[in-house]
Amino acid sequence: MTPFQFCLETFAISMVAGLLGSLLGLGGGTIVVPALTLLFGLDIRYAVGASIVSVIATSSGAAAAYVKEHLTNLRVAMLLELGTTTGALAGALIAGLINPRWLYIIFGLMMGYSAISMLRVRHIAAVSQEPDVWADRLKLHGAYYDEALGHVVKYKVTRPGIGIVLMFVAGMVSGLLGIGSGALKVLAMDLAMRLPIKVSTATSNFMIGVTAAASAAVYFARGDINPFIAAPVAVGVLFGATAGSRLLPKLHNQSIRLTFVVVLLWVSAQMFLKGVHA
Amino acid sequence: MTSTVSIAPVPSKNRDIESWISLLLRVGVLLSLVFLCIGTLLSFFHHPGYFSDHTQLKDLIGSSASFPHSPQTVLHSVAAVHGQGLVTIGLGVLILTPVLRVAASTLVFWQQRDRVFTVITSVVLGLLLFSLLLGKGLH
Repeated sequence: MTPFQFCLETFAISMVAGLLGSLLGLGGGTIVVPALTLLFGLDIRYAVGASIVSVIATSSGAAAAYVKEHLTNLRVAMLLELGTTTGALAGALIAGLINPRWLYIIFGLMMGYSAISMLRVRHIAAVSQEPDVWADRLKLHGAYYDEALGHVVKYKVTRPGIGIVLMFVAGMVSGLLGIGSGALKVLAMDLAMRLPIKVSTATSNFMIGVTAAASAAVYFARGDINPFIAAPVAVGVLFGATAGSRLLPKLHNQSIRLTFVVVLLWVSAQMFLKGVHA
Repeated sequence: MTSTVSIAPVPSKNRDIESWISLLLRVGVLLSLVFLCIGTLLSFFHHPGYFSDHTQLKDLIGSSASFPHSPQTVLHSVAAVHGQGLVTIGLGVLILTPVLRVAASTLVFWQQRDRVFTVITSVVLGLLLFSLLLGKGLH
């Protein structure tokens, strides 16, 4: 393969990854890393490095991010960032120390979890009325204008402590695997902290970029971000994700989603096995 | 039953600041994209062999590939107008956008005289800057 072919193919695959990611609500990273490692046989650390950069690109650049700004609960986000950033640092450092085969194994497991969580029906949780001392003290509760409902929705936040701990785990996974781990973040905010779906999605999107930046700096200095690989990946994923979010509505059809879940589960198995057999 | 929920203040002035921050972010990403694209094009321009040579790919993407990733080597590469140096600048700009975002939020909280969250965001900012330095220290 010539460098030119590689560049072109990587760009194309990254665009598809970005597109699929935005369609399915998965990050581009979850698709890019297996694509680069399984299809091109790239060193997983380069794949993860390139993926982290693309995560920052989509998080900061997505046009939708601006709209979601008004939904983002900035206070919750910054508070939880304490957890994700420390986690991301830890994950990024550990990734440089452990045998790459573990990255494949953990990636396979995480990807499997993300795939299955695509099927999870997200319940609109009843607005929590339980008083939470810390949430009150830190003024974490919020309100947003729900376009679908046509009025402002107030909500209360609970258990920020558990949220921070879960975010540390999410951040660590992000630092290890180069993905946004939005699935974990949303889980923490939905279930543990009872944020409304739209708010937790928007807040998660905001946090993903900051978390990725923390790990990216470590990867960069360690020489794990190869510019020849990262450039087409970042540009490709960004183009794909932007096109996806603008041109196509999110895929809600459960049977099509199910097909994708099966495919993703198969890919997760491939990653897992690659780590086991290494 | 009315509950006294303490919601964080969001005066409209801050909405404007938030809009400016979002704009800044997108400009940052665009700028980074420009560097990434121009850098890549330049690399191919300087190495016409990339279009036809099948043997060079290993050196570029294999585990033993060498490319600038410390401040000195990056500046060196940019000064020599190497494509990969420009790409690296683009990557650096991209990594900095969320950091700027957090810095801006710190200022906003400080303006709101919210001591707790000024501290919280400062700590996050500190962690981010620490990650940049930590990376350097790994050399």
